[in-house]
Amino acid sequence: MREQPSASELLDAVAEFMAKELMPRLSGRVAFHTRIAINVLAIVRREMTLGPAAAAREAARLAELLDAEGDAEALTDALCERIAHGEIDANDPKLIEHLWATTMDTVAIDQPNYATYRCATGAEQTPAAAEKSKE
Amino acid sequence: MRVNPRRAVEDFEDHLSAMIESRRDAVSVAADESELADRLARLAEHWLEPGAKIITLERLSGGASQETWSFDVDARGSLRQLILRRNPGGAVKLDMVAGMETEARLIRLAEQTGAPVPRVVHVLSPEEGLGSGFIMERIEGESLARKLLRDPQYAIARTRMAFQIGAAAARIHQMDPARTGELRRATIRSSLDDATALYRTNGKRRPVVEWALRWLEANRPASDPVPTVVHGDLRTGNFIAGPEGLRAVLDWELVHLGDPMEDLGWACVASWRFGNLDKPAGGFRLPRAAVCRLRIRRRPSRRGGPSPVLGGPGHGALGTHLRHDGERLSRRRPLGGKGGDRPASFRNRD
Repeated sequence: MREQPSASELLDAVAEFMAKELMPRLSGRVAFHTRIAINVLAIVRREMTLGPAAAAREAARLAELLDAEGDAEALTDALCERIAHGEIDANDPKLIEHLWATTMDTVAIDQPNYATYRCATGAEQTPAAAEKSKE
Repeated sequence: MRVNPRRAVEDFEDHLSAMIESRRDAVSVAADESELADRLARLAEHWLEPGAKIITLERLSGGASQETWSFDVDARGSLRQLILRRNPGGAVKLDMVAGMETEARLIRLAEQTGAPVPRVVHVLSPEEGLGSGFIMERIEGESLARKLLRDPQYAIARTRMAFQIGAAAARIHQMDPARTGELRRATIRSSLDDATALYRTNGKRRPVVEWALRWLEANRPASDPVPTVVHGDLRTGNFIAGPEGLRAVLDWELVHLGDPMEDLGWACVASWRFGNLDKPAGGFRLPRAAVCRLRIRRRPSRRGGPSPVLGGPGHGALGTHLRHDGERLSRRRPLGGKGGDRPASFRNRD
């Protein structure tokens, strides 16, 4: 059985304490670094929430792409070797799909408000689409 | 989370820099702030005039490689507002970093060439006991991207910044390479090798980075342009501006000789638009004429043609720069700004 409160709830509580209680009492560099710390907690929280499923998807894609079994890290290294040495077609749709999906999952954890990511997920219009809708 | 996410993201790059920096701070700074104040006071007496006093001394955030301090000197009633940039010694200096003496020398050369920079008023010498570095005049204004790009008081500045950034870049690129003294030379080859080496030291290998490195290798220009002074970190966040527009280009620590297109490309990278994806010039609106030219040039042209020549009298505005950029990119593949696009596929070099 999982403990209550969960690890991610505890993280939320710490981050909220820092944002609401600490930040208003701080200024200058310490405030700046506290803001970094709050952001780091948010990354950790997303890693906990989204990381396991993303890792499982990545492993499944790698196994199919390379038609091999093994842990994801070893398969990733093998894929890197093959890309670096030109042993895999750089335009292979399956490869492109894997790179795209892996990158999107990574950004979802690291920096989900990155504007380009938001466009790619449809959360925000691309500049081209925005221009079109104006016409 | 009750944190404003937009704010968090806008500062993400600075945060990473500061995190790296703060680890170093723990070793080099904490113990000697009062000592720094003492030595600065002695320096001010010697360098300005007897009786000169340090009234304020404050460590500024930002700037990944070196310390930056803001301080005021009361020199017998006349106030000097100054900035100290220094490397206290012992800090890791990356190969890409020009070094304090070089930075000071190049800022002075930039001033002579007409680029908007702070005036360097003193270069530290070892016996002053402050490490290597220099003192420059403090230019009042705003450098935070989110304020420059969103606050109402910078509305007029926002209509001018793209042009002014381009004009500043043109001045920088007109600096005489023969007068720079010793300065790192980056070629397309060495830049690619350095980026690869930096990635390799990171430890973890990533397929998408391997793919990107292979793309760069396949698409790199065949030859280097005439070596030009390149700022190296010309982007929103390193500009000081007031409500009337650009006041100074800061952070010269990555200055080197290379391809001037590097500055323009870097200024337009999606990250430095801070969310304003439709405004390629560092998140600032392009001058109207430049937008028209850019639209025309964006239509894919299949003809190769020679590389555009930079440095001519007409390349004052970033818009004009972008026109060149558009030509170059249309012969390869657009990389930034088209968020919804899938990764560009490989093509052979023209």
